[in-house]
Amino acid sequence: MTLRVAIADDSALLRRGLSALLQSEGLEVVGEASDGAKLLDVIDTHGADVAVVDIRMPPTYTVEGIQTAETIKSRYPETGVLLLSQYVETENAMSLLKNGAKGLGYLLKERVSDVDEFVDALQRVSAGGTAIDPDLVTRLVARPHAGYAPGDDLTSRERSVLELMAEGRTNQAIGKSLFLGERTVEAHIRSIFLKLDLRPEPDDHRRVLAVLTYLRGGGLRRGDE
Amino acid sequence: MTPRQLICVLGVTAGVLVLVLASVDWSPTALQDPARTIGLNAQGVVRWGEHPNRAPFSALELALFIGVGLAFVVAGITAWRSRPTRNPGMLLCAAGWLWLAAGIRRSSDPLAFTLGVTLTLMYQPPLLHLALSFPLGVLRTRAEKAAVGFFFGSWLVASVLGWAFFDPRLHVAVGQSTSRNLLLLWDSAEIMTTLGNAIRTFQIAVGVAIVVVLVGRWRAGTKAYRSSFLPLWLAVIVKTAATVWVSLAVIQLSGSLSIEALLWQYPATAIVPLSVLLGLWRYRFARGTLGDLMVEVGSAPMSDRLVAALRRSVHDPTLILLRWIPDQASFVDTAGVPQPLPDGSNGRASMVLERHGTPVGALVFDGALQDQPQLLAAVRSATSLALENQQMEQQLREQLVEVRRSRERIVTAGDSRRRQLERDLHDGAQQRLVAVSMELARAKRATDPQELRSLVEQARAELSDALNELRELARGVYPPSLRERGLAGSITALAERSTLPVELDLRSCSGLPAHVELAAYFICVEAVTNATKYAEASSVRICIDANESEMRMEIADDGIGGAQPSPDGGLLGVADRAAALGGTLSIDSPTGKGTTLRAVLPFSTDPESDLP
Repeated sequence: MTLRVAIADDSALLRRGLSALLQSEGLEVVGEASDGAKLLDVIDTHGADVAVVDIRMPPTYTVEGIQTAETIKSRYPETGVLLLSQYVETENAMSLLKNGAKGLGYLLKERVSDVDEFVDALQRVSAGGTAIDPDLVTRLVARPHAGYAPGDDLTSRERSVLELMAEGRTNQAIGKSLFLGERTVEAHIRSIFLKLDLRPEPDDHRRVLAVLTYLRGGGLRRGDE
Repeated sequence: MTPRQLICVLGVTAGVLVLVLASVDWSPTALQDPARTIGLNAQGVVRWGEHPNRAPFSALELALFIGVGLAFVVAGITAWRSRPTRNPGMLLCAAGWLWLAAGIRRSSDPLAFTLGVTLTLMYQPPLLHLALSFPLGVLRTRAEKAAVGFFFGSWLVASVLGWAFFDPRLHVAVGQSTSRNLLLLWDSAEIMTTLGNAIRTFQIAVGVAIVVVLVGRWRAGTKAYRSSFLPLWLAVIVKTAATVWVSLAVIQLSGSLSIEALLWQYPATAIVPLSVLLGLWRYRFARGTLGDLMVEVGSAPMSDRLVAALRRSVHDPTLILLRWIPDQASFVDTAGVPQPLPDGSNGRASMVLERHGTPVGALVFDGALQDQPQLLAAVRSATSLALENQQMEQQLREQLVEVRRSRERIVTAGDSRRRQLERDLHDGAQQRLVAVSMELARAKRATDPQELRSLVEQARAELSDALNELRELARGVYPPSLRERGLAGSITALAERSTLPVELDLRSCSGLPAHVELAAYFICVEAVTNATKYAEASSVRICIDANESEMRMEIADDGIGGAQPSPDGGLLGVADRAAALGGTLSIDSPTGKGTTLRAVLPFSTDPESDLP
């Protein structure tokens, strides 16, 4: 089934480029909008599996995209929203995901250039999964801390698994990315949750939220006081 | 002087006057009675009685006598009504009353006559009191008080003793005196003469002693004191001359000359209260007035002219202004030499000027100025005001200089930031974009698909780098998270990107004005940069709190300390930024004990309210 995509960006150049890129990948672009309100019109009229939304749009050019995402999720819970931005900030991510990570994504704009990855993220989000930019995750995981932290006990393999998990990847995708079997990945994940003293979450998108919340609450440094 | 006091004084005066007028015996015998002659002691009565051509008591003499008494009272009231103290006025009034009361010796009533002769010289002790305490009428030392008490006592004893051995009826040609002396023990010309000489000698000695004391005071005295005492010297000379003349006239001169001499003692005595009044007036004038002070200080409130203005206005050329140096905990003069404050022993007095409970300076001046508390209070407030002005002017000047410097630094910093930005763009993103352009141009001409793909891939990688660089540059120009998520968001983002662990304690920092948020952000960036690059710190802690009027922040690291805001460093730049907002930034960086930056940023919407 062809993915139906709606696009919102105040830059016509980017809109058109994105539209052309997606169409050439065989996706259907149902409409383009220059701000959040127009995007809602497009979705109201045509419906969409996923909306690609620039975070910074008129009128204030700050975080209109997040508000738009909220509105879309409340009106059309089944429609995924992928936020694009020139910068990825934890606070924005947490704000976006505050009501749950289901069907939401937050990526650097330039991720578009890696077409396969980008389309994969779109598909994940439209299917109710999550896509978080690796930059943001790396930053959180690599964040320095004073003294001992439970995260110090993670092996480097576990750390890689944790990062991919935080990006919203499925176990299957993690395995594929790290050349591991699915059972090995599951074992790693169990170990990670145990070491970080986190409650295991069955759904990918809940897992993302748990891990991000954990990382944000002082990176990997909880309990070092 | 209250109206009630005035009525009392006038009432007493009128009472004494009525008493005197009523007591005068106008019978020819009484008028011729030498014993009733005003002002004469027992010896004088004897001499006067021997005078063949002595004039009878006349209405003119009575008028002159009363005139002198009234002159004392009027001068007393005038002095009383004008400050500084009421004492000189009271003493003059008392002298006037005693003088007038002595007039009852013209009565034929023995008691009145006796009281009259006893009171004859009793007007003098109050005047001696006044001379010793001039110009305030306040006795300062115990010795002075004792002396004055002694004057009153000895004068009274002298009067009583002088008449104790003298019966006027026996000495003057028989029948010519009918005055009965109630003080009489027994009549003895020998004792009376001896006592009279002794009393005169004693009184002259007292007079000389007082003159010596007054000459001493005159020499050590201030300009104001001398100026005021000058009329009194004249009065003393005139009065002494008149007394000597009367004595001589009574004893040796004859005819009309001696009669005139007796009358001349009245105007000579009347000079005394008038000169006292003149002296007090001159004293007042010499010390200046509030009006003078306001005019002088008002026209010259600033700088060194202040002291000159103060000197002129209080008529004290010796006045000096000392500055308080807190470090030395002492007062220094204009040359910077520490000066002790006078203890009051050498006629100098001082007044410490305070501001908010801490001394700022002191005035040292003539002790005589203490007589005018109101003037001193005005001097204090005028000087404090002028000093405060001076201090504010100084502060303002320093601030202005600092503002100019800071403005220059801000502009320079902006310029150098632009230069840096241009260089970064030129060496980084621009070069990469040129490279991309060339690779794409080559790709356009490429025939081998393998080569084409590789060129496009290179171009894409190059573009990705260019994007990263541009993003970082843009972030440095203005933090995107500040716009998107406010101060807390941008500080959180800063903490996440830091290579040092950054602990955050952000209590209340939402809804702040954009310029305050930006300043706070850049202060944090600078502090974290400093901690990372120079301080060898292992962690940083950022604490921000705000109330409705200002934001306080503290950024502390555990590094090596010793941070100094250098002209080309970022710390001075953020300090300037804080100052430009009317805030403050302090750097506490003891060597080996970490660095703590503290900033207070006010966010008043009214720029004028931040002015000092």
